[in-house]
Amino acid sequence: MAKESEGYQDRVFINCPFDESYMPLLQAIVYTVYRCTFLPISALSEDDGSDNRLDKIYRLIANCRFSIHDISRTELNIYGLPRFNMPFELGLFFGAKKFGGAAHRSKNAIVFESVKFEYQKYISDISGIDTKAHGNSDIEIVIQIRNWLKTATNRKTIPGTEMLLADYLDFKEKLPSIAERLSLDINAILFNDFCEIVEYAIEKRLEI
Amino acid sequence: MSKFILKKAKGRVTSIPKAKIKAAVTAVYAEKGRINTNLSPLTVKEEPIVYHITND
Repeated sequence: MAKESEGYQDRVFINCPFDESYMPLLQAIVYTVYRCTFLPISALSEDDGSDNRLDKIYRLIANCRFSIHDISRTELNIYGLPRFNMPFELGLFFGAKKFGGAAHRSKNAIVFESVKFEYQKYISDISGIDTKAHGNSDIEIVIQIRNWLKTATNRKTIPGTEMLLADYLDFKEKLPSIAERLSLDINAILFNDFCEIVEYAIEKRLEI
Repeated sequence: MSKFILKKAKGRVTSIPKAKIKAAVTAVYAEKGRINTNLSPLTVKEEPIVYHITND
């Protein structure tokens, strides 16, 4: 039976697109997860050419109790084919929860799409899942993730929506200046660099 | 109120020195000031109404 790893209860696996157009939403996800006292984990956190990609995803899912999936971008790519990575990783997460033993039975996920229940047109096997529609709004993502984590854990350290939005909007306003000082393109900040920025920003914001 | 504990990843590799990132964030937050996170009810400051009385 799989054993729960250290920090398992705090880790949130992020399964979403990584292209530039999605970057503002990914940044909102990462900020919210941190600000709600959890740790965001992504396949982008590690870059080891000798590591099999699928093994890495297995490992990341195994080490995270929570998971954020965005299947809103399953549209056709430049080759005219749909992007299956996000639905595939969502399936792996469901599989881990179902077959991973007691340690993984408490796994909890939020599934985003752009328009609610659109998934039923292309992945009907998961009918009955209560997806959340973000309408490509970062604010909606912040609120939905906060509410989901609060409901799932009832942690007292999760801020109220009003405070969270004030903190997030303040960060969003400052991010261009931070990126400029670091000579970074705001839409192409590497995941680890962005996490580091967010950690310091929250410390500054809350004076901790 | 419960104490906020920021969860941090151990041994994260960044493309920019962490000290440089910290310095940039610190500078921007110092520059623009810290907004009070203790949100209080908004107060609306009303402009005084000025009445012009003429003898027309």
